[in-house]
This record gives sequence, C-alpha cells and structure tokens, in this order.
Amino acid sequence: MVAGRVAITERALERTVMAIAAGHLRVPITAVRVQLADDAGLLAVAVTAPVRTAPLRAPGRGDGMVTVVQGARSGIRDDITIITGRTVSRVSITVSRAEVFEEKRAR
Amino acid sequence: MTEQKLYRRLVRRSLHRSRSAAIVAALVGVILVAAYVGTEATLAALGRGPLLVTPDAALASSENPTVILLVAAGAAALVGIVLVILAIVPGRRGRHEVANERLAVVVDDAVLAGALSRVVRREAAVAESRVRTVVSARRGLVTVTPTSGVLLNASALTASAKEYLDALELSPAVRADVSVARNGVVGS
Repeated sequence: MVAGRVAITERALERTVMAIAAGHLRVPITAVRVQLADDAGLLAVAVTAPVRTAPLRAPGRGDGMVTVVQGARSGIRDDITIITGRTVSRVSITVSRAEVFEEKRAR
Repeated sequence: MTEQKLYRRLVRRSLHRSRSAAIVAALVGVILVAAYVGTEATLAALGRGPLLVTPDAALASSENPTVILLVAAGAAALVGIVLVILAIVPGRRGRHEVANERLAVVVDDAVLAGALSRVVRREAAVAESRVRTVVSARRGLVTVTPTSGVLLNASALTASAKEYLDALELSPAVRADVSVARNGVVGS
C-alpha cells in the first residue's frame, strides 16, 4: 500500500451529497440544500429539496410523493457510501416544494 | 563491565529526581534549630537572660502547651510527613529508558507521545490534529477523533501502537491504549 492518505473536505462532501440527492430526486442541483453532521462517528445527512410529482388528478399517476422520497433516501445513502466511502447513519429529507409536472401524452 | 555499571547509574539518575534539594533544606532547618537550642542552653548555663525562652521554661510549657505551641508542633509534623513522602516516592521524571546494546538511551515522555501519535495517525489515516497522546510511567493513552462515517477499529490501532512500543523495549514498560472518540468530525 502507498503511504499517505486521502482527505475529503466537508465542502467537497457536501457538494457530492447535493449532486447525489439531486439525481435521486430528479431536481436541479441548485435547488438542493444539504447539511452534514456527525452521529456518534457516523455521517448524518439532512437534505432539503423540492420533489417532482405528478398532478393529483392525473390518470394513472406514478407513486405517491412519500413513496418516492422514501425510496430516494436509501438510494442516496448507498450512493454516498459507494462514492465517498463514508458510512451513513441516517438520511432525512425535508420536502420544501412540490414541482408538478404534466405527463405528456403518447402520440 | 564497569561501563555497563556507569550507564545503569547514569540512566537511573536521569529517570529519577535527585533528593538533594529536600535534604539540603531539611538539614539547614536542623542546623538552625540545633544552633538556637545550643545558644539558649549556653546562656542559661552562664546565668544570662534568654533570647526567647529558657530551657526550663520551655520544658515546663510542654507540660500544658499554649495554642501557639500546638500550631508550631502541627506545622513541624506536616513538614515531617512531607519529608517522609519525598523520601519514599520514586520521584520519576517523565522519561523512559530505551533498550540499547551499546548506549544509555533515555527518552522524554513527550517524545514518546509524539511517536505514538504518529504511528496511530498513519494507521488510522487521519489528520495530525485528530490524535492526542498522553504518556505516563506505565501507560500510553492515545485518543483518536474519527472522521464521520469512517469506522476505526480501536483494538487494531492499539495493536499497532503496542507493536511499536514493544520494539522500543522501554523500561518501565508502557502499555498502549488507543481509544476512538465517540463523536467524529465531518470533514477530514
């Protein structure tokens, strides 16, 4: 093994987590806010972001908002561990806004 | 061999504090008291007036002591206890001997602490400021602050610190004890 070590600054970690969260929630990275904290030696992640959701009355709309966000949490946790090598203890997501998108009809 | 004897003596002198200061202070005190008692006794024998108190009066007052006399006796007892303690405790100097075939080697505990810190820092791959070490006579206590999300194995770190100390063959022997702080720091 080569001597030396890899250091990742808090800011770099934050930006990485922002990008990961933005990818999972399918929102622009600038709309995502991330706060990292220590949780008894593990990494605690708090994400504040808007969520894209289908119109309420849309026929055959996708999963509910809560299901989508719940699914994103575990995906975000796994990606953080894969990319940065940090073990994450909890991921909390605060939905700041819902972005309704119209599903285009197939023509 | 005489050289070996000399080294042993030198090492012992470097590891332990000399008692000469306490001895000098105690003996000066004894000399002053003896000189005073001698003076009073001589003055009394010549039939002159006392400086403070005649020997007869002093003996008489010890039968039913005054408050001042009791306080003085207490202070003397305290000094006596301190001197006994100074005589008994080893008076270690915060240094350790490093085994060496040809030389007498003595290392300051602060230097040992720095070396232990470095070993643990390398093993744990954390920044220099995250490791704190205190070395006492028989224990090297290392505390590592982990990076959040990077789990450290305290027993593996202890093992590497122990390996390092074992190679030095310190005397008195130092037991390594590495502990990982409960809370980490987010960035590294």
